Amino acid sequence: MNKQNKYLDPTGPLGLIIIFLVLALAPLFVGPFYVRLLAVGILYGVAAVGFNILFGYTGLLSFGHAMFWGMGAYGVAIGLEKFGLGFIGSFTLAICILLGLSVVTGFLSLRHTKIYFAMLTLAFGQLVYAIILKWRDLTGGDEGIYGIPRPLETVTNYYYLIIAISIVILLLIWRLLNSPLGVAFQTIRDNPYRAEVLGYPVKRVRMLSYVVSGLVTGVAGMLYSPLQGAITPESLYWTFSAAIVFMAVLGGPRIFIGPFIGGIVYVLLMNYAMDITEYWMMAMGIMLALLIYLLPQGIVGGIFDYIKKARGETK
Amino acid sequence: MKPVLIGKGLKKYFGNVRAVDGVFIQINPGEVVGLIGPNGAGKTTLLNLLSGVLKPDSGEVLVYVGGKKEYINVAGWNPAKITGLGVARAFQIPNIFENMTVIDNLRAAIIASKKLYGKTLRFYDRINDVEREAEKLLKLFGLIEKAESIAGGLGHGERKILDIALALTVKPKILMLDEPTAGLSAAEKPLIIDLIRKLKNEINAAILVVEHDLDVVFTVSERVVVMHEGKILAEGTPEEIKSDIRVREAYFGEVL
Repeated sequence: MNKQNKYLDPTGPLGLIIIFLVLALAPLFVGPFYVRLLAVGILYGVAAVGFNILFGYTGLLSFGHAMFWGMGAYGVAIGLEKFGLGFIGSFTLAICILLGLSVVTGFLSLRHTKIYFAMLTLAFGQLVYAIILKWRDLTGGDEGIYGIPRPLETVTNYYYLIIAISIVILLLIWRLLNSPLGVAFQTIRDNPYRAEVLGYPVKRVRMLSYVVSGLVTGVAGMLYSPLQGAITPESLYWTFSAAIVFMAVLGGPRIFIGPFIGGIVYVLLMNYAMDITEYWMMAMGIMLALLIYLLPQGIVGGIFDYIKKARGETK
Repeated sequence: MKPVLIGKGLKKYFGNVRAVDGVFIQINPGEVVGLIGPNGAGKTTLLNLLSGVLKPDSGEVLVYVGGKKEYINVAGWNPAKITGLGVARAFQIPNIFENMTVIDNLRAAIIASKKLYGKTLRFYDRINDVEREAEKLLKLFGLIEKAESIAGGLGHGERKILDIALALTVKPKILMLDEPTAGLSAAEKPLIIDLIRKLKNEINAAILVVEHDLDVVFTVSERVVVMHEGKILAEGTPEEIKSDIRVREAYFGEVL
């Protein structure tokens, strides 16, 4: 069997290291605007990888991941601005919120699978959005929270902190997905009935996948509000859940680094669309539709399919 | 040696249809039993009762567990728990992990049977015990060359073979095969016959084959059980069954 070093997998650690090397060098060549843009892209990418633990690996489509992203962001913002907890305290607070939120919504949503699961996550996502929108004293309502301090002060410094944390998180996820537990996720995606007959505790494994997935997306959100210095309820709205789904599909949900690339490409495309027209959503829609037509396996999936074909390997 | 599996007074009605109507069946260690009968005789329903997919209206499914207790009645248990007692089943429509490679299918099944899924610090494909067993199964089932192929892209015969291989990972006392040759071409059928014979020699399990194709059943079975309208009509060696007039009537009607 193929026993080459797993860390040399171009769709895994090797690919990640190369991408992050390029990203780490970027501030030498582009201005602060683009550094901030790339930082957002990295965080979107991490959020999409987190989402994909559930979607690509466990076969559960969540339409409520903006809830985790937004609650991570709000948790940190509220901790810093409203309670004066400092960075460590605020991050701890956000993690606790995310854990509680994922366990409760997971318990309630995972009673169903397929479209019913998707609708339940959508419903819980909107419920949390409504709470944040209406709890003005704590969240600032539709104005959101402003003046959130940033660790390490400058955007570029914070950019490197984001890179460091993201590498660690992504490598840990990769390790998890390549462990026996990651295989359990995939068996449940492909054939939950057979997985159960073979002895996998399907319900527990689904729950575990849901919690880990929510946490990862939430941690990306936690790093987001200090980057921007502000957070509004839009980050919890269901359209952002859809955007996360799109990033994963755009990059390629069958490949570990696919959704990460998808997140970065999504941000860059959005920026480009905003540059060329004020009807940027329309331009964005056309570009995204074209990409899906041309690369149904996602950007990264398409690239690797092409390499395989060029090498003459069959799928 | 005591039977490994006994079905006692099993009944399952679907409305007015008496799919299984008071069946007694026993499987002895290491024997290959063929279960035949015309369409609608209740073969698959019986298999579903024995493997836990369906719950019997009445009757017992006894699995030999040794010790003082000797048998446990598993009627109404879910399939996963019954599988845990060594009663494994392959499916008429292959139940495999379509998006995973052939060897990863086997690894996943072995990991489940060894309860290794909590070992998050290991790589799933670097566990020596698992690798050794996966390779053994690949060889036994002639799937070595397909090891790295995606299971969903295999031919129908190979998918069925992989399905049987997955069932074997639990080291069963009894392996049930539900129409192993259904949907296969004439060229693929001998593969399955060979496989069942090989399994009989290589693994330490009784095999219960539900099959439409009488040639296949008479070739591989030591004992044949014939069902008709939910009941057991006849039982005996392949030769006895072939010459049993009641069996012919059941299959071809009384005109003969």
